[in-house]
Amino acid sequence: MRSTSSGRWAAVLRAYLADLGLDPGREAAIVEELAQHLEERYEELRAAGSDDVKARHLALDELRESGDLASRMRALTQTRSPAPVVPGQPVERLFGGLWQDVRLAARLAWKQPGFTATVVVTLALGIAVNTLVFTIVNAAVLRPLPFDDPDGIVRLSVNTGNAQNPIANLSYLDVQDWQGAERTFEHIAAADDRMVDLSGDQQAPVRLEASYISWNLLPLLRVPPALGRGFTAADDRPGAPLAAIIGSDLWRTRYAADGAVLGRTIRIDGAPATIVGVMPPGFGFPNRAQLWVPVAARSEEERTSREARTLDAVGRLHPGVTLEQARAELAGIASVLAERFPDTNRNVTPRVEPASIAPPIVGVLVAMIGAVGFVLLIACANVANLLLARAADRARDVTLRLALGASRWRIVRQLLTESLLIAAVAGIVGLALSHAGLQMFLANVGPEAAPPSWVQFTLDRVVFAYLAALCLGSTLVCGLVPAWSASRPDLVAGLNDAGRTDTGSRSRHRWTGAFVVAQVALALVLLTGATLMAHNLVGLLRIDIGVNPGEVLQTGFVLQRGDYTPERRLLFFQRLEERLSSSTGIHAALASSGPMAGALVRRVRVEGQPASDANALPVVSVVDVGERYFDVLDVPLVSGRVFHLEDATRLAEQVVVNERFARMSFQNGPTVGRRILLLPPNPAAEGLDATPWMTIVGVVGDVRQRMLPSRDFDPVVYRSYTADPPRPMQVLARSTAGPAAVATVVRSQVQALDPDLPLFPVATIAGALAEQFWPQRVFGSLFFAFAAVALALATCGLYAVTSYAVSRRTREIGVRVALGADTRRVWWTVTAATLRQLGVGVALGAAGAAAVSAVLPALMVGEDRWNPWVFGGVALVLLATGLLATAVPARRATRVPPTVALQAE
Amino acid sequence: MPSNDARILDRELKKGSAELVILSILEARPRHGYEISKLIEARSNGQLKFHVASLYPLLYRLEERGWLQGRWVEKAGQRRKRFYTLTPAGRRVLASQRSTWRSFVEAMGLITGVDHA
Repeated sequence: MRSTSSGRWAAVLRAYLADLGLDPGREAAIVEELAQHLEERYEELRAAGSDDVKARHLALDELRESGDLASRMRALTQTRSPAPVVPGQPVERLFGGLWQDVRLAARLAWKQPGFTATVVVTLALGIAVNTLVFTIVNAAVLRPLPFDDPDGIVRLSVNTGNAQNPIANLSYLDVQDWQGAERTFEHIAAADDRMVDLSGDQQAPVRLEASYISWNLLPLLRVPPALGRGFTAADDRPGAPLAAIIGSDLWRTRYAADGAVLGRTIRIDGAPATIVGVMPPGFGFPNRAQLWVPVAARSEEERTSREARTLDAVGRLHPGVTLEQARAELAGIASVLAERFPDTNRNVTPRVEPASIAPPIVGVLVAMIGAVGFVLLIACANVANLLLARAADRARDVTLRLALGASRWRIVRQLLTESLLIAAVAGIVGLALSHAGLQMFLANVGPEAAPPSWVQFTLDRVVFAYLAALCLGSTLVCGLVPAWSASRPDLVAGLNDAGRTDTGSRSRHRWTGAFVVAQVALALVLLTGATLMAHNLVGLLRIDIGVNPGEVLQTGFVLQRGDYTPERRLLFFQRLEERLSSSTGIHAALASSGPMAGALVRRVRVEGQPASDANALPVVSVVDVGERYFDVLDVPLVSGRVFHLEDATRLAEQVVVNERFARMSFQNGPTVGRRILLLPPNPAAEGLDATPWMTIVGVVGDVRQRMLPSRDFDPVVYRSYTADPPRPMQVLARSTAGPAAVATVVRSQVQALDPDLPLFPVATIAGALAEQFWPQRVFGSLFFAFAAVALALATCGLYAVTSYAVSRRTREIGVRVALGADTRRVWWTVTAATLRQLGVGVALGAAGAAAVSAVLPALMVGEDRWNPWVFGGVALVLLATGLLATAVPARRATRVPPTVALQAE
Repeated sequence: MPSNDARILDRELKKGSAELVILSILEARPRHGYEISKLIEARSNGQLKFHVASLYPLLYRLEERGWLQGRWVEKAGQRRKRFYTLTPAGRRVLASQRSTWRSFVEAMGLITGVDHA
């Protein structure tokens, strides 16, 4: 009977619970339990004398009492997920409820938009700079060559056994002999990059990058022409009719992608050639060539001298052949050559290396990876501190969950999920930022520094994997300490409403302090490096070259063609000078090389000085100049005179030197009238009596010839170009008109003399220098941007930490102030810890900066890497910024009115 | 009909300390819902009453938090009943809440001059 009596409640209870949507089992259990309760209450009321109706009414009243049963039940998640938490027992599935974690994390992030945005932006900056640099490194260094089976391709060169020049390319004859290594090599081929003049096709002549290649280079790379044919062995014989293959870009821009270009005749350095093929788009081997001709078409001297080691050689190994086997076979051939040609090949041994691309800026790239790594670490430290602060705010929540039996892993996992979600969003934002940065970087790379044509700065799987690793890594770095720290709060304190007073846990404070110190130190290192680079660049741009680089325009040409004999070259130069001097508005002169553009290098012997080892003689720069050179460049005459053309017969025996030369060779003694001998750079090997004795007729002011990295004026010897007319010639001009007008004048005068001769672009010397300094400029400004980001992040970090400390202690401060504490003391209380951390950070950072500056590439920081002003100045800037970031929020604390402070809770 | 004061006291007590009350009742041994409601009423001299509509949601909530564990127990010849046991976590919370409560009462005593002894 009892079951039916409690059955009378069931219908009512079900009606109450109906819209909770419980699963039937759970509902039945609840109904059973509550029905029993009501039944016992009913029986008690009956026993106390109530009649059936009244007892039932009273019991049901209690069911309705204090609100609606269903709405109270609805608050319980248990009604939805019946699986009970079993306290104290380990969670069975490590990743159970992961989706729940993600949803909770997303909800939390959404609920605190300010916090989330701060953290995302901070991390995104760090991730963006890293992805940017990695994209560059990946494209330039890590990616394999874009050819079929790139691992089978090797780079060939020789050890010369000569200490001054230990590694060299191959000579034409060496390549031909090495091609006998058929056991290990499928092919051995060579390429020689050079600029050529393209003309003879009814268009303006153009100077472009070409490559003289072995006929089997394209089969070796396994890249056939897109149109027409490649070279054959017959094309690659001395004296064969000149065949040419053109690049896809040239084909499109110059020949309108016309298929009929095959068979057409063009002129290459004046020699007629027939186009036989067009390469596919993107092909520019070995660098950015747009024109290829057979290597046998080079000059006879280059074909017959074993010392003309000018060929880049590559080999394709047979499948399965190791580098060692290839080296062994080539070593055998080299030893035979050493016996047969002891003069040239005695100590020459082959080098076989994997054909990876190693651009000269690898050192800079490594430094950049380090720099952006620092930026990310600073960003992570910032985020970690923000998360730590939030963890403190959430201590109560976490304590409760721990008390409910959640495992520590479960808490850590939840907090890490939050970090990961933030890092993922930051990764996406960072990717977009890095893409924008990359476009800016590419727009600023100087044209002469453009990488080989196949280096494409694109995102590939490697970059994405790196990005993912960054996000994961920064999640762990940022999230682990806060999560770990949050997951071990003081249980009782937590439930007693922790965080009402200032401090939170001691270990949390230690971590915050460590992050601040790390941040400051890293920012200092980065800022010091960037400032050293900026200092170097400013020094370079301010370098005194002896002429005003902004005023002098410069262009040039090369009389490359075989029929330009010395006599015809001389005639050409003299006629050009006449024509230019009769042009109005332009004041021009000729020189074999412009200021700071390098020069011919010779050793010099002074008559009357004791004969020493020829290889120990001083090295000087030699420039062949026209009559008006010193006048146009405004170089002062110090003593003697300059060249006069009336002197024509004796010009070959006269030189003018600069002051640096005079100081070096004659100290303060008389210079004019002394005689010198110019010798090749390696006179011991190349014979001593290279030139006749020459008399110094004048001394002029210093003009720098040598390119970087030397910072001093170099000793220069000027010859008249009439003595030995060079092939390349620069035109230096002053004009009130702009570069375009000068270009028009010079071009028209040059082409009046030779319509096939293209002209170099016209630029001021300053412009040319700026281009020469592109690595310092581009990488320097990148570094500076990174350092600025680092400084900003570190400043925000300090600010946030202090603000947070102040906000946590508002009550305490208010009480102190209310009790009459000295404001300065209060200020000191709030800032002492941060200031200590700032001090430690600066000290550590200075040490780190010293260590890092020792390894920065000389290209970027120059000679002055220990400049104390830079080190001191940067430390001061950081200290000042840090003080400001601390002082501003701390000041707020001392101004809190006690009434506000005491209401702070 | 309970007096107005009594109703206010009941409400205030429930609001601030319902969890502590339930946990204390269960400290000695496991009990079922009806027994819990009777014990509360008895020990508070009738001042505090938990009826079915407020008691069970509270029990379920504490169970959900892991402070209690409910279990159906069958005895021969009787209806099965759901007994609630204090879990180790519940015991920790009880200790902590008890000390908080003690401090609170002491503080209130000091402030209001009401001697609770």
